[in-house]
Amino acid sequence: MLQLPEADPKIVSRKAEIVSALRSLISADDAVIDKEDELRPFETDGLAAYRQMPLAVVLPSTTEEISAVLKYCNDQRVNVVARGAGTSLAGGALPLGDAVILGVSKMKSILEIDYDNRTATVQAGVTNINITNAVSPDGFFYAPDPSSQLACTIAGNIGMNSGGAHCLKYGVTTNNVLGLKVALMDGSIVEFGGKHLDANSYDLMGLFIGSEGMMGVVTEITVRILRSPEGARPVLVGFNANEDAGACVAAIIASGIIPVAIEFMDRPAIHAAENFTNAGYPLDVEAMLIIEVEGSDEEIDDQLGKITSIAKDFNPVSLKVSYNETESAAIWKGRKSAFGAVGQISPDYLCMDGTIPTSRLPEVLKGIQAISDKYGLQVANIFHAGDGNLHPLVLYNGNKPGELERVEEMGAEILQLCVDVGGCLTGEHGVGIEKRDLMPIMFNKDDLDQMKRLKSVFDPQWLLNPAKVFPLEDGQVAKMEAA
Amino acid sequence: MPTVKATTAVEAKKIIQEHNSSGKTIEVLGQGSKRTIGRCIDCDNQLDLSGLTGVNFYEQSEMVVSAKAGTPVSEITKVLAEGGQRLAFDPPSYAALLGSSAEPSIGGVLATNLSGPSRLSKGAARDHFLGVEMINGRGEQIKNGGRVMKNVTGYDLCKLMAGSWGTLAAMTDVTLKTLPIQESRVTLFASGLSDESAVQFMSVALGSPFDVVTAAHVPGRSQTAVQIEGLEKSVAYRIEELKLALASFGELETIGNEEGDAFWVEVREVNSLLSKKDIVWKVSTTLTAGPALVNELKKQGDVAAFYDWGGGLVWIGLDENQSGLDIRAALALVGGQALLFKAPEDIRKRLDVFDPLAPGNRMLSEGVKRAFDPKAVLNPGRQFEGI
Repeated sequence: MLQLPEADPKIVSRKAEIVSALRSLISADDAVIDKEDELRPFETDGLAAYRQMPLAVVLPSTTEEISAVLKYCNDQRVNVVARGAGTSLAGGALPLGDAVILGVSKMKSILEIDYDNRTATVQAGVTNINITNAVSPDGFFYAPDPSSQLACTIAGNIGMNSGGAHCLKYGVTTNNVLGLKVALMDGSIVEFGGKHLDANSYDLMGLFIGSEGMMGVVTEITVRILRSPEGARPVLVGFNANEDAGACVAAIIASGIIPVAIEFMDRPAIHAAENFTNAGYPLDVEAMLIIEVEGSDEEIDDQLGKITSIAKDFNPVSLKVSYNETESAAIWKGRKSAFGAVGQISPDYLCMDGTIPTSRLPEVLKGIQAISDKYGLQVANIFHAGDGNLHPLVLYNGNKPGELERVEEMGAEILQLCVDVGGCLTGEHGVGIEKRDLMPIMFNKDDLDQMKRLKSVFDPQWLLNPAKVFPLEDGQVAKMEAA
Repeated sequence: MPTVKATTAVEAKKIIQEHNSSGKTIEVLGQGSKRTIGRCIDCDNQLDLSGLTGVNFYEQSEMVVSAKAGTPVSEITKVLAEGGQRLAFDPPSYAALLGSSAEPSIGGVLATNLSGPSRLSKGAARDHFLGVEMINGRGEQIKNGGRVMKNVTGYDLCKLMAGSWGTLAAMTDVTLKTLPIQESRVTLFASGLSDESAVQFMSVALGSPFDVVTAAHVPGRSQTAVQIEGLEKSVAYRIEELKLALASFGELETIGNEEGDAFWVEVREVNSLLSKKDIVWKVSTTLTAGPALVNELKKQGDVAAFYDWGGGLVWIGLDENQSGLDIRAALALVGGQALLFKAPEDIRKRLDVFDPLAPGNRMLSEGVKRAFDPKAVLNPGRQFEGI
């Protein structure tokens, strides 16, 4: 089990005073929450095995209110955990007992859409999908598409540098953001970037994106919007062996075709998804790829023709090209509901997020199977194969004593394998609390100290989302001064 | 200034450690091709990394290449071309513009975050920068990122290194994403457009679903161009569709791979399009704001300009007697930033080469510098005085 530092009793005993001070800083009547039953929804995030009630929750409506809350907490040395929609699978928004949760859920305005310059400027609490929804009637979209896009906020996407199924072509959050307005822990407000490209100074925006809510609270975001392609259609290919599917992915990339997405599912995942959605997936295969391309109908046919002819070299046992929107939607429905479907066949699952060099796919899948056998816990594999981002789902029952510990140990072994073949601990979910203690697998002390020094530049007292990303020392947050 | 040469990361580490102990400053150089861009600095010593060369690995099916930081870009480009791939941010060489004979190194390109015309659609150098090994000002060997495309393990220091001009750490090994060279590339040219119509032209093309990769306007040649790339059939289809969408802009001409490529090389390398001006500014602004900026400047003096990145990058050339022209004051009306890219030394000493930082950003930048290089031994003042 992962440890959280003990709550500071001195802060906890001042709860009434702190709540009252926060109320004086915020205009909306319902924006400071301190009653236990109302705090309950904030006690966890997408990593639901961990729960911790916060001291209080504050929901500001403006950049200025966020700045005022941060300044007060900085002066009073109160920890702050910023929260978008609470969908983090890494425990990035998990509270601390002595922390104020700063939620951005009241900041839902789309501030400006500028088609001439192809940008949208939004408040931090706008959901990922709502950016696309705002511009799609005019034929545009915002590219990063994490699976939680219906719920997750752009603020959370900035915090974790979220990816999605289509980043093989379009990149992740950091490649699609042009400007940020950020409130720092001391209450000052800074701007990074703008509507133009690239910085003539240190790329503080690039550093901030993916800093997991530890450097500041983002309040406004300018993103790049893109013109939607004329169409997009996938082909679904089933294989008798994981190795064949893996080799097929490498051959497609090597041929020079970059599909917008290449998704991989193994037998357990296929069966779970098919039972759940009737997507029409083949049930007699060991592995399946969904390969999507974009363009006009003729362009799609041309590309899918090239892809299927490559796939034919790898013993496909089923091959199904989508010819219309209904068929495409069915294929994607199975994939997009796959996590939920796995939730139906197991009381609990742990979603891993390692990335590996794609050429090592077959051996890593074998290794995961061996680890699964060793622990006697089943794994369903679903992942973004084009960029090597794996999501093995380890199935377990959290009510069985000791099983959570065992699944965490097993997860760590899978991630160790990812790192050993040249990959990393997390491709798009973030470190949060979940992978915090595994960081020394990838980084030595100097590597970690360099990151910690940067944290101190933005937040010298280490009040913002402490106890995340960096391993604790003796149960305490291990701070490091900037210089 | 004495030069110390490092051909391995270990040697570089030792040299920087010594400087950190003594407090002596050191200028970090790759091949030295961009030495005349930026603020003039005078260090105690020079760290020459031009011998730190060689491709560490190239995995075509993973679209990834790793090299020592001093490796000439041309060497990497050659290795990638054998696998049918390239660096998609289009690393530029400004040798002709700057009158340098040195070839850019990959470390130098990343340290300055300079990108060519396809930056518009494919992202900048920083977007293709997957992993780094470096020696910070303390003389500590630090690694960050890795060799995979999706990686959010810890803070993203590659982004910070891109555009830090050697002031935070000396990079020793870098890993980059690669992309396939497309089988077909076609450029569509319009002629005789005013700057305003040209921006309109590029905006219509870029706002279309036809995946325009580059877009530029060169008023001096009366050429406005957009480029499409991909599979042959697909390119043919999209070019025809684009012609329909752009029919109101007059006669259009299409040019295929080689001749089209030559145009984009000229745009990328700037020199031939600004007829050897003494002073060159690189201005990044919103896509549609360029013409207003150029018109404002033309009221004040003799200005040559052309537009890349769909209008978002404006290269401005001035004669030496026009050095007093206040580019940033004019830019403030439309928003953006301006880098004094080429100018005689006395002018670079007189003017702010990089945009002055807002107070909050200045404070953070000073902190970042201290976090990497507390004694300010690496390239002090290369971008900003005191950083």
